[in-house]
Amino acid sequence: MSLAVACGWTLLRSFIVAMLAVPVCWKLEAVLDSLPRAGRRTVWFLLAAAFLAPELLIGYAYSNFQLSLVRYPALNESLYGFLVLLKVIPVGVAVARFSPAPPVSSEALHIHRLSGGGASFSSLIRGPARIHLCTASVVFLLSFQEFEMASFFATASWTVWLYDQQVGGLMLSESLRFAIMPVVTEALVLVPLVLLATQGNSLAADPEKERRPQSRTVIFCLLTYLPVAIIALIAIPFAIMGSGILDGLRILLTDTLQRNGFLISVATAAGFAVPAAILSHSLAGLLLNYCVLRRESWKSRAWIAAACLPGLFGSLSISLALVALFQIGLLNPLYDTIIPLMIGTTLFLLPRAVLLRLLLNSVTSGESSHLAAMLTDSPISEQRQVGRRLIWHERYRRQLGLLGVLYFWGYMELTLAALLAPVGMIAAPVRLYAQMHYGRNEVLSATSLLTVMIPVAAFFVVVGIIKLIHQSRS
Amino acid sequence: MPSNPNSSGREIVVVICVLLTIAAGYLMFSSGSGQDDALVVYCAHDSVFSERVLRKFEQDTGIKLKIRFDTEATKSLGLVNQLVREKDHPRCDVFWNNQVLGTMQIQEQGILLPYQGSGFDRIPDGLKDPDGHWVGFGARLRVYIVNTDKMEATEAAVAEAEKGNLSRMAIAKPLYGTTLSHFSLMWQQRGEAGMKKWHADLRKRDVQVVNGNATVKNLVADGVCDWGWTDTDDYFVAADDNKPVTMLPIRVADGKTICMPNSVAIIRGTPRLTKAQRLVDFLLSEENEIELAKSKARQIPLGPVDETQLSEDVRKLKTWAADAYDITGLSAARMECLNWLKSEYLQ
Repeated sequence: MSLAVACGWTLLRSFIVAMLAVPVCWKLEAVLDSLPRAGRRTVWFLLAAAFLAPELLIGYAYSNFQLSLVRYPALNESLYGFLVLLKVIPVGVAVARFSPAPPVSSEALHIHRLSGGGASFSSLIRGPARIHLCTASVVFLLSFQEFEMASFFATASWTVWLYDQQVGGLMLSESLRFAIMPVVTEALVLVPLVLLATQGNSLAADPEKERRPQSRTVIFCLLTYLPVAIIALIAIPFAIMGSGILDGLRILLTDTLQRNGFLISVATAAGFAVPAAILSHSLAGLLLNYCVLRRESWKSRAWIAAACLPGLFGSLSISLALVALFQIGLLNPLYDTIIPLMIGTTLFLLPRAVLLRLLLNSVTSGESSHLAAMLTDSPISEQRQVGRRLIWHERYRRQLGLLGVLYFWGYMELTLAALLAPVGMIAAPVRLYAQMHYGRNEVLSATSLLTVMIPVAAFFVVVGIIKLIHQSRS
Repeated sequence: MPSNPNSSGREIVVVICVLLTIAAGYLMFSSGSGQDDALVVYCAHDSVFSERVLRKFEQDTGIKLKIRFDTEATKSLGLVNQLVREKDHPRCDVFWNNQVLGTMQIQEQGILLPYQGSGFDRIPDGLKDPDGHWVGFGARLRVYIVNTDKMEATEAAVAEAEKGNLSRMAIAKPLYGTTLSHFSLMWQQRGEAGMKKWHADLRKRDVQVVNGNATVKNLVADGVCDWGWTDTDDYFVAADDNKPVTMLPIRVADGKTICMPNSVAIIRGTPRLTKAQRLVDFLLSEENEIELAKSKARQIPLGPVDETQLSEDVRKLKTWAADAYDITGLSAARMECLNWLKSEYLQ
């Protein structure tokens, strides 16, 4: 299969996924609006869980089942497309929820039509359709860049094609030449997306958005999507990997070589992911603050867009570009070091950090933080303690949660670590990916589960320690 | 969009702190811990088997290794091409290939440094380069893996099945690894026209072309396909897992089997020559060949070894390997075949 064919299939699949996802995202977003605060929080939590479920593990869990579809490519493709659809919908919901409000409201458009104005393209773009376009674009990009599941499902995908060529030893100039076609495709979606995002109203979520009761269809949509996504993306993979985990753990713990290799790979992945997460988080904060200081001018938004652009092209494109960059001139001595991987991971995480900080800003009240800070200056010790607890809740806990999500994404990122890590450094996902192609077994399943659980557990331990330190200061 | 007026300053401090930490970590890692002295090994043999051997070498000698493994999907070709790319600025010291043809290709490009140590002497002629640019050890065979629940496991039954529809037969994508060597051998035997005709017929009859030999093994072991081409080490994974499979040697036109030794070579320009030589001697030692034979991969020792230490499986493989086709003259055929396969599978 040629790259053009692989790219064409990916394009078609991503287009279909985007078309199917947009109405679902729209309905889900409407349901979120109608829910009380506690319900909304639960739904967001489940959406986040569906999106954060690692593709590597999902692909591995379904790999044996996929083998039975080897003579039924259409079914294989449908199952893969379905899983991708389930995976990207949460991001679509977030984009639909937190996109800048369009300059022209639906009421204004309606009046425009009543007064005899036609439904021109420009009026549509400036109206509520803008949010759907943004949603479709982001969902399309995520689907277009998907790699791990496509690899396990052996579906036609430009990412798998190009990755295999690159690790198969293709000359870099050739890889870059091949990358032009998918990158141009992505650019065709990204450029309008950036333009739309830089020309809307405030980047903050619309506080005036009305909460309205939803129809049964809309509620049904939510009640169908969430259980299906949780079952398909989390319950089934973890159940498959969980069977025989005790045997796997026993072998892993008694085999010194496997155990040590595994632990070193986990530490390596975490070692890259933690600084990259902190850097992207801070850079996102700087960019957003700059945007506020500049009263969200188009220039400041353009800066954000420019900084996020490399990450939006996906990890494979970033990797190839950095491999090329670090093989020339002055940068060459840094080629086989941790620097390219660190830069790559930071760039990859940056757009996600910006989106997450926007999400966080929309649910964080500056006034309550300020009031809590005032409480910490109170002469009464109980009030100071309450103030510190509130600050922890309002400020630190959420920021740490955001950092945790970024760290998890960076930790589980396979392509960057595979193509940019220096010799001798094997990150956990790369090690897993290499071993997963030999087939499923108990040890590998146990290793896969631990690969996810150890960093998550470590994160909660660190958060607990920070909380203790914070409270002991009071 | 809420903003804390002091937060920009705080973010800048955080960014600077993280950058300084990374720089300090990099400097410590690159100079303080002696990592530069570590021997760089590119290893195309499956990491699940080879890592154990290499870590034992580290343990025995105290010589630190930095290892780059190949992926299953692009087996061996990735590292061969990387060595070609790095020819002018080599990063690798020792190349452990899981076959021979790719190693012969880089030998022709002047990338390998000859070495005739203790290991060289114990490997028979025909399984090593006469000048010592590379030496073979621990071999595998190309075999049919047959699902015994689905079909009779005899050479005659497989030959009969191969005459009809092949939708229940699996082979790995021949662009990489031992399947590429297998195709190269057939290219030499059948000639270009014969090979292209045979391949077109194979595809026309719906043979399942999958990502790697491990996937072939999985398909047959799970009964999705009835038989396929794979390597002995992959076959033994399924057999050890109590899957209903057996193996038969693949024989080429003149009845010869296809034996694929590992090969080891030192990269020209290595600044760690003594250490590299120690690793080569270690890999070619009788002790290591016996360890590889005892491993789950059941690799066939090529040099003289104490036969009593070999399992029945390995002894059977040794008799098949004694009938093997001489693959040392396949280098040119491999390049021609690979160029054609790229046009078939990548364009």
